[in-house]
Amino acid sequence: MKDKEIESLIGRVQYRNNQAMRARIHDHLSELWQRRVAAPGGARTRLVRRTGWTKSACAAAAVVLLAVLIGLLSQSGNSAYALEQTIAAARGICQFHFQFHASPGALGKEAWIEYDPNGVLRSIRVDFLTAETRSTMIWDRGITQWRGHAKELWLFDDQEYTDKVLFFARRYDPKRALGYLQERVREGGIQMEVGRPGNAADPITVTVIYDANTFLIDKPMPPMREVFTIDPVTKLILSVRVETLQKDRYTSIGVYEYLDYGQPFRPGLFDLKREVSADVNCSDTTAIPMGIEQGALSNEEVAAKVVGAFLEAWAAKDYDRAAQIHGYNAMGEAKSLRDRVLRSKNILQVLSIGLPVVPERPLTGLLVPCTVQYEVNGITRTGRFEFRVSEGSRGRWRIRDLQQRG
Amino acid sequence: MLDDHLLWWRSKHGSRSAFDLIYQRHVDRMLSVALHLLGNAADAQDVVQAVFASLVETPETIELRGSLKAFLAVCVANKSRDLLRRRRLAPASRAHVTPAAGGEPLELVIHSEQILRLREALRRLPYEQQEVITLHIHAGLTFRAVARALRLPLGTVQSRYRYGLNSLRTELEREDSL
Repeated sequence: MKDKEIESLIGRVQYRNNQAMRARIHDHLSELWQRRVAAPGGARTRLVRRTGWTKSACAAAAVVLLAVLIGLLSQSGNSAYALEQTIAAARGICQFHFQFHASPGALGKEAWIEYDPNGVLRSIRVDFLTAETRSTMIWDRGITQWRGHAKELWLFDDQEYTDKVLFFARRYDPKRALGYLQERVREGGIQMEVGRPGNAADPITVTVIYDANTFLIDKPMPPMREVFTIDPVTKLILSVRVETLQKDRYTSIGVYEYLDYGQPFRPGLFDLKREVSADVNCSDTTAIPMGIEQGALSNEEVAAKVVGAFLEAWAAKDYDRAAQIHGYNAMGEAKSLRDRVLRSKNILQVLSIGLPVVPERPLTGLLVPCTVQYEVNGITRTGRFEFRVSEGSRGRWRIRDLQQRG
Repeated sequence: MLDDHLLWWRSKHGSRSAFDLIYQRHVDRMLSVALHLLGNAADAQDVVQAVFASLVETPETIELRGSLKAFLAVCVANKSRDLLRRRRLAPASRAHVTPAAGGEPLELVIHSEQILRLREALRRLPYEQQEVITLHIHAGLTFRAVARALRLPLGTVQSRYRYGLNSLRTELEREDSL
C-alpha cells in the first residue's frame, strides 16, 4: 500500500462534530467576551484616553507603579521570580548581541541576532575567532553566507544548515532560550532549578542539568550543565556558563555573555559581501538549482529519483551534472566531489536501487541503498553504496552522504 | 477574505466580529484535531474551548509568529497532550471511546471496515507519532510548520511521521492478508 493511499485513508477518518458542540463552545466564549468588555483591564486603553490624561501623566503613573513593584519585589527577595518574567522581558526586543569566552579573555565567538518587528527571526551573524583567524557565518532569511580562512565567500541555501543555525539561535537567543528549556523539561531528560540568592540585589541563577545525550539533539554528548545568570531588576539574561561533567566534576567549557539588548546594529552587519576585500572570490550557489525538485513525489520517490539521476550522470561522465544533482554549498565542494569521488570510478551499470529507509537519529532524510557495477584500473567490480538524501532548499532534494558498503 | 493576521490583530484590540470570524473559520478543524488526539468528544470540546478562550482572555500573551491555523492547532495538540499526561492515560487506553457529555457518541463521518480498522490502528500508535500525523493531515500543516510549532528538528518530525505511516501500513496489510 503506497503512502498516498494511507494518507488519503487517514484523511477520511473524520469524526462528526455536531452543531451542539460548536454552539456550547461559542456560548462559553460569548460569556468570556462579556467579561472582557466589562473588566477594567479590557477597556484600560480607552479609559485613559477618555479621561483626558496627558501622555506625560500616564508615563509618570507608570513609573511610580513600576517603582512600587520593584520595591515590593526587592522586599520579597527573588522568591517571586518566574522564568516567564525573563521571557516577557525579552519579548519586545529585536536585537541581541553576545560573546562566548572559552576562558576569561579568550573570545571564541561573537554573535548578533535580529528579529523583525513581528518577532520573526530575520538574521544571525556568528564570528568564530581564534588568536590568528576569524571565520564568519551569516544567516539572513534562509540564505547562509560563509567566509572561512580561504579567500572565498560562499553563499548557499541549505535546509540542513538552516536547521542547525536555528537550533543554535533557539539555545542561546535570550528571547527563546528559557521557553525552549521549559519545553525540554516537560519532555524529560533535563532538570531546571531556579536559585534564590540571599540578597535581592544579587543576580538570579537558573541551573539546567542535562542527562547524557540530551544537550544537543543531533550529537551524542556527555552530561552537561548550564548556569544562567539573570539580572534581578530587568530579568534579562546576563550570561550562561556551559559546563561538562568529567570525573564527577563539572568543568567549565565557556561562558556566553550578553552585551546589548535592543541596540540597533551597524548597517551592513548581515552582508558579508560589503566586508570582504576585492581579492575574495564569491561563490554564490543560491542561483544553481541543486538536486531534484520534489513536486508531487513522496519523500521516498524523490529520494530514489535523486540517486537514480545522480548515478545516470556519473555513468555518463557528466560530472558537472552529477555534482549539481548531488548538491554542494561551495564550488570547492563540487570540485572535491568531482576529483575525489566521481573520477575515481567508471560506472558501468546500475544493478539496483533499493527502497529508501529512515535512518536512525541523529541522521535525517532517507537512506537509499543501491548496487552498481563499476570499473577501476581496468578491473570490473560490483559494489553496494548507500546514499543519504534529504531536502536541500526550496523543495529540492539532494545527496548528503555517499558511502560504499561493500 | 481577510487575512488571519489582520483578523487576529483586530480581535486582540477588541473586535468581537473579528474573533467570531476566526472562530467560524477554524473551529471545525480544531475540533477534528482534538477528536483525533483524544478520542473523546467531551475532552475535545474542553480543549478547543480552552484554546479559543485563551484568545479572548489573554490575547496580550500571544505572539503570533506563523499562521493562526498552525498556532491554534499546536495549542490544541499541547493541551491534549497535557490532558492525557495529567490523567496518565496510556495511549492504548485512548482506544476506548467514551460518549461525550450530553450523551452524544463519537461518530465517524464515513463508515467502512477499512476506516474502522485504520481508526483503531491510529489509536494504537505512540502519541508523538499520532500527533505529527494529525497535525500534518487533519490540521493541514506542513512538516516544517509542525517542526517549528513542536520545536522539534524537521528530521524528527518526518521520522515520526514515517514510522507512524509504516506501522499503519503494517497493521492494514497484516489484516488484509488474513
